[in-house]
This record gives sequence, C-alpha cells and structure tokens, in this order.
Amino acid sequence: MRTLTRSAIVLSAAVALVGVSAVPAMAVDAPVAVAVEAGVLSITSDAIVMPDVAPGVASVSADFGVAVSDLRAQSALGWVTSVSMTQFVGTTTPANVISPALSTYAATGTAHTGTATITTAAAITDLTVATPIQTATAVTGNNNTTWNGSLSVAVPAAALADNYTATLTQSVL
Amino acid sequence: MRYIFSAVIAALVAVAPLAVAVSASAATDPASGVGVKLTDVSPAAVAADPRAASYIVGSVEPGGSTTSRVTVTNPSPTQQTVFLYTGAAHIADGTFQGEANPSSNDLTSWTRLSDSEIALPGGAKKTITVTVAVPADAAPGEQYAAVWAEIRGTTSKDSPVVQASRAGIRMYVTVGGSNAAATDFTVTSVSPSRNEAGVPSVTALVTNTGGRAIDATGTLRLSDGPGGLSAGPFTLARATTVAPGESANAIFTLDKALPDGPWTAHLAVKSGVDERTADATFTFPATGVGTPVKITTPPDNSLMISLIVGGGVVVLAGAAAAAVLSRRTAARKRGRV
Repeated sequence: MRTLTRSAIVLSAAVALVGVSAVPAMAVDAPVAVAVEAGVLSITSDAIVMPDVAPGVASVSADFGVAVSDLRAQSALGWVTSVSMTQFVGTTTPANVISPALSTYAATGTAHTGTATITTAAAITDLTVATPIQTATAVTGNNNTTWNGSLSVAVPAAALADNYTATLTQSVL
Repeated sequence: MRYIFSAVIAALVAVAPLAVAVSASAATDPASGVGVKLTDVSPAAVAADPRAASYIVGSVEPGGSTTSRVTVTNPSPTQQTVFLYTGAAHIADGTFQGEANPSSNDLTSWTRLSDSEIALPGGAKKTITVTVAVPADAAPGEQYAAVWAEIRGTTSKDSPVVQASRAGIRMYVTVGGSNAAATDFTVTSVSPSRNEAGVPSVTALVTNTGGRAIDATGTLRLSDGPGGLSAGPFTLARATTVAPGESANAIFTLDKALPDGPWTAHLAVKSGVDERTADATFTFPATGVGTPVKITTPPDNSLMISLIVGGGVVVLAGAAAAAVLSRRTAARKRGRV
C-alpha cells in the first residue's frame, strides 16, 4: 500500500510537471496548439499473501494495495473497478470446490488525486458476479485512486481436505 | 520551436509510467499492473461523441465492419504476459459493467483481436487491432462489450488466491439498418394434464415477443415431488415453431408412472442459442387438462437481452454452437445474472 501511494505521488508529480512545463511553452509561442496525448487507464495491485484455505478454518483473509491510474486526460469519462472471484477448486481433486458466494471484498482507505468523484461501494458479500467496488464520476483530466483491498474467504465446515486455489479478478473499465 | 516543446512534453508524459515502474521495483511486495488506451482517435468522431476519445464507439450497418487499435502497456518493471480477449458488458445501476470472464454476447462474437496473448517487457507497450464485423442478418440496436487486457499471477505457496488484474476499453456498437428485431420469447404459462390412457404431459405456452420466428426446443425437470421424488429431464418430442407476435404450445409428454404431485417444474426453452427458463408448481389432474399455472420465477429477460444473438434463429452449427452454449451454461451456473 505504501508503495502504491508513493507511486501515485510520483505519478502526480510527473503529471504536474507536465502542466508546469506546458505553460511556458504556451507563453513563449502563443499560437501553437499543443497536443496532449491521452495516456492509459491502468490498474495495479500488490500480490496477495494469504494463508492456505483449509477445512476447519472458518475464514482466511488478506489485505493488499490497489491503484487505478486514469491518464486519459478526458472530461466526463469515468471508470468503474469491479471485483469477482472464481470458485476454489481442489488441486488434488478438481471436484472439490468452495463457492465464492461466501467470500467478501472490501475497499478501505480510498484516496485519490486529480479531479474526480470516487464512490466506494459497500463490501461485496458475494464474489460470484463481477460487482463494482469503486466508481469514478465527474472526472476532469488525469486522476489516480488508491485503496486497500481486503479479501476474506469463508471456508465451509463441510469442505473436504485438498489444496484449493481460486482467481480473484480486479477489473477497471 | 513547437516540436521541441512537444518533444519535452512527450518525454515527460513518457516518464510518468517509468516513475511507477521504478518505485514499484523497490517494493517488497511486487505490484503488477496493466494499462490500455484507444489509439488513432479521430477528432471528428470525438466532436460527434466525446466517448470516442477513449472508447470504441461505432455505428455499423449489417454486413459492415469497423477497425480500431488499442495500445496495451505494462507499467510493471518486469516482463509480463498479457492476455487479450473480449467480454460481455451491460449497463446496470447507471454504470457500464463488464462481466466476469468468460462471458460472451453478440458483440463479442463479432469482434476479433489481432493478438490473444502478448509478452510485454517492463515498461513496454504494444498496439493491437480490434475488428468488429457485423453479420448481414444482425438485429438493429446498441450492443455493449469490452476489450480486456489481463495479467495473471501464478499460484504460489504464499497464497491460494491467484490474482488477475485487467483493464478494459468499453465498446458501444450500434447496428443500423432495418433488419427484423432480435429474437425474444417468454414462457407465458404452464398447464399440467393427464390423458385418458393416464399419460401425464406438461404444456408450456411459448410467446414470441421478438422479431424473428423461433424453433423452440426444451427440457423439463420435475423436483420436490411426493416423497422428495425428482424426475426428468424430459425433452420436447419436436421443435415448436412460433412466428413473431404469436404464441404456441410446447408439449412435454412424461412417464405414465409419475404420481400426481405436487411437483415443482423447471423448464428451459431454447431457440438457437437463446434460452428462457421458468419454474412452476402444480399437481397433475386425475384426468383431463389442469388449469394453467403461473410461472413462479419469471423468465429473466434482463439476462437474455445481454445474451441475445441478433440472428438468434440462425442455428450455429456443430462445435461452435456447442462451445457457445457450454460457455453460457457455465456462466449461468456461476450465478451470473
């Protein structure tokens, strides 16, 4: 998280620098039209470090930093970050599955730079379907948003012994 | 002079992602990410629709096509494999929402990407081509989808959860022309009956609410019967063809040995790649036709709208159809609505 926040600050500084250098350019040579090339919409996430999902453990959880950087330099176009997770599948016996319907994802400590209204949804309590967690509206120009993603996986008491894996997908659109 | 300043600005803009990369490389937890942007933005298109600055916005006649280019970037310090694919999207609660992978709809089936997987060194970018070829029989209307660039972690001893991050470009494609409206139909009611020979049957009234004829086939399962019995699946003996605006009965003939019930019936009526489901609870009459029962779970049209294939009555042949159906079934099984 700290790294991501720092990245965002560096990024904003770089963006600010662009603005500063653009001003003298305009001042020196007023009729020049400076084309600001639109940048990318990107998402960055820290790796997840989480204890193994094992029967008998009620739930396991992990926190990780997530950042969305919108350098498209547009007005009005917002973005939506959604989260979904596949079911947990046993690596030994693929028929052993744990539904993602009892897993939760919450975003805390949301911070942003730039002109945008960031709306953080309540914790998602069923990760089966891609569900919005952060929505940016009223965007003007570049903006960067960071948050702390908290994933909690509920393990049913009836789960069979196996090594389970699942894929958590964070999407920005 | 202007070129020098442009160059300076370009250089500074270019520095921005590098700053992220350098900072991220110093991290103890490696962060990885992916970015996308629309390339070759046409100022005229943006003037007509500001969304064209960042999204694939097109109006295409049936039989026509449109090509766009998308640049994919790797802001991470290390090489990453980026997976490229299309996915269905819909508008709900005032937001444009991409669906979990895999997902498909008409627009994704019309869209081809030049690459499906690219290896991007740290800080590198690559431009891919997105071609939307609208079939000649496509129904008019606006369609939504997304072009996704995804990076995936690998399973590790540190975590049972593999992480995937993806950034997408929205697609709004309007199909013009005067083709018939898309396929749409509902199961209006269900009637249980038992003939003089004692053979029970279930009649589903299928109403064609779309613009194209449907050839309805289907399956019926019975559950929660006497003593917890379940039965089926039963299939329709033959396809029932229903013209636009018309209704017709699809009759499932069941086994004579079935007790009267009560039963909960689960119907799935299909035409081409479109499927409608309906549940109803009833008891078979001793003989004759029972009263029609209402559907307890209304057909989910909101889901179907996202799934409708414009040429829904065009039966996709062989493996293609099987692949699409199995993917949709899988998506539905995961509870996507």
